[in-house]
Amino acid sequence: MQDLMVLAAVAVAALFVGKRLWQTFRSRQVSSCGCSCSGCDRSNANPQDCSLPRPN
Amino acid sequence: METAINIALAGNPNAGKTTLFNYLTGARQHVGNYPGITVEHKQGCCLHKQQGLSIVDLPGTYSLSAYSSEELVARNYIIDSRPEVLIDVVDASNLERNLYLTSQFLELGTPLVIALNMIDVAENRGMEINAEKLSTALGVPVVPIIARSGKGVDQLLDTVIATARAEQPPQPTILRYGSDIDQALNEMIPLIRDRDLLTGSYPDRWVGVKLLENDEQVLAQVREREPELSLRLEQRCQEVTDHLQQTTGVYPEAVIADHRYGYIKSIMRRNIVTKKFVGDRLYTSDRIDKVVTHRLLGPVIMAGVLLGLYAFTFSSSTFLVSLLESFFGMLSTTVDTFLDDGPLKSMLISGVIDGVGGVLGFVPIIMFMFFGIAVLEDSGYLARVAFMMDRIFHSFGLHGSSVMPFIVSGGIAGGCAVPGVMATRTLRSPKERMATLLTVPFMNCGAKLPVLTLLIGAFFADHQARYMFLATLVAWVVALCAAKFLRMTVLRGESTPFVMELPPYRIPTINGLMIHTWERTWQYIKKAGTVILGISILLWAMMTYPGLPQEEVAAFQEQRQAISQDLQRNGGNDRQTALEALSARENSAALRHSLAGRIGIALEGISQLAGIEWRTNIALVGGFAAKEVIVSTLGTAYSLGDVDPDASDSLTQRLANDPAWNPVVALAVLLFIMFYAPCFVTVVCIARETSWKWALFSMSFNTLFAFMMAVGVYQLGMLLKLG
Repeated sequence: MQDLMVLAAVAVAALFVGKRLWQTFRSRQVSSCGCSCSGCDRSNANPQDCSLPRPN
Repeated sequence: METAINIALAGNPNAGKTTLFNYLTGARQHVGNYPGITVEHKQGCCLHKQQGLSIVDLPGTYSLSAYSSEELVARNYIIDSRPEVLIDVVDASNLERNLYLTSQFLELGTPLVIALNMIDVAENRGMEINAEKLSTALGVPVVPIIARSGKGVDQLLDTVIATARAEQPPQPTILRYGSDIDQALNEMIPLIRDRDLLTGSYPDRWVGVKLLENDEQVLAQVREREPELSLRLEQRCQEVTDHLQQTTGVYPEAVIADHRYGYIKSIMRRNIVTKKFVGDRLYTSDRIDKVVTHRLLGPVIMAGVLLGLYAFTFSSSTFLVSLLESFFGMLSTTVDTFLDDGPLKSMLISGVIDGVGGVLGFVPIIMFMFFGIAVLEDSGYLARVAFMMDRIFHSFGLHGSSVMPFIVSGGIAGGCAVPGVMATRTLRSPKERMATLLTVPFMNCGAKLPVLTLLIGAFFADHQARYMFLATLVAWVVALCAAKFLRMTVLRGESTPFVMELPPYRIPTINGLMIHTWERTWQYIKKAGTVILGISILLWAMMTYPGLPQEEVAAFQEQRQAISQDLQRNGGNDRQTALEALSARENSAALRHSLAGRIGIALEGISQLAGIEWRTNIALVGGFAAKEVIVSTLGTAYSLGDVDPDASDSLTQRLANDPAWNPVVALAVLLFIMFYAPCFVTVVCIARETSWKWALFSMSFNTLFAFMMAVGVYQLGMLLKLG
């Protein structure tokens, strides 16, 4: 049982870390907001929230 | 549903664009009390009186020329994305200088609203600005605001919405540039208009002005679209240039700039600004600067401030750090009590608690350090540090603009190399930029902080603040020497002049300090709980598998049984010690046999020269993913290889008690970690900003340099018998 749980945890960790590294590697530009560095406190405002209603 | 109104915030550096952006959008973009903090545009939204507004924060620029990346980013955004309204954030206390950029927006004919920011600062300086008169003179709305408190922002947004809904689009303002240039423009404009040359994007006169200014980007576009016409236009520009050179000895761009300032002067003469105080009165900031940036006193004060910052950090956080250590020790004991022996228990204790817990244990130190840095930054002192460093930078072949990337990367400790690398975009000379970009990773970024704190805490605990101060000094000296080396070899060239703008001192707001501190601390915690946790689990697996072969396990079991039987028959402490030693040997053999252990041992042949043993090698390799991983990997490695892996000793204690470590080894490892290859994200960022060739150069150059330094320190230290 412990073996199975460890296997699952390692697989999830590998997928998560692999995805993060791949995203960093593939992205056209490493954003100053996406580095997740401890000294980097820049957060992105979400541009998708911009489609707000405009009254006539 | 209609889309929101698109607004862009533009203006001079340090005019308060990002402060206004944060106020409007509720975002927490980094606001620096120094220029050059925004090098790419950021987007956010807000709702004002049921009207959606999509807001873009552009980099601060002094002009719309194509000299630097931030100017191009701002200009291209305004031209290509065509915001419905451009808010020109103008620093009211530096009105005349800020209006230079305004004059260029007016020439571009973009729908414009001027936000006259920091009106309170202007008033404190005895300046009274008549916004109505200014609005009439410029022909665009002017709204006084205080972005920090939000005063006047509602009125600004009302004006913005009204401007966006205006039926008549604004016409470009036509400025006169003197007879020579105006005559040339009069000849060039019909040609530009007839061929529809870039007029879909720019006003025709603006294209002509840019050609006369020798704007490389516009020139390239003209050459590409109309090669023949381009020749004619360039020839006309050359004629004007030659004529102006012969008659006045200046280039057209200088004449154009002079006339823009002339236009501004003519506006300012309309009693728009009333000064209550005597003109040469020294402002409070200037008075403070007389002392703080003094040639001799300044560096002494700077050293005192840094030392004070570190002393404050360590003294304030001691109690909380020990509290967290006890918490993780207790957590370890709890897991040990409730779980049966097996891989899951090992992963949770050695991988997660000793690994990630080791990183999280430094949260109080990180938090207090970030608080101190936020005070320095928000008050404006950091800009003074940059100003003082600027004097030194030229001696090392670097541009004054290089100072900010160094500080952003962790010049005071606690920054990040990624925005530091990106901040080098403000440098115009490619060689100076490259030298800066390759050396900013030498700074002590936030990720290196827990590693430095760990080693300093374990081996130099009596003088933590002093050693952290020394580490900062060494980082600067090494980075500058490396830059000098690069500028003397592969990146040879003259250094270019630079004028540093000093923003006024401001009293930091509690809210601002709390936001800055929390944002940075939260990033640290979030990273520890996500990326570092993932990597820790993977490294634990690499340090656990493959396990020892059955025959070796059986051999250890036999020895254990023999000692146990002997212990039952005769008793005694010696046999108990022998049993513990056997467990340690078995754990160590298992770790050596694992995949990570084999990598560590393979590297030990070389790393021994610097006194670095195989378990540390595993951590150093892991540190390439993120520097905090060094702490978590050391935690796991020393937990797995321990006599009792479930023991709740802190990593600091484990390292201090380990025979493979001593102060000399710690110093060698510390230097190696400070200067070896940047983390993966920084390397990718360097590659994106330059090329993979330079990114690989950065990795190999830094690692080789760091290793040579570590070997030198270790060998010298051992020779002097300091270990």
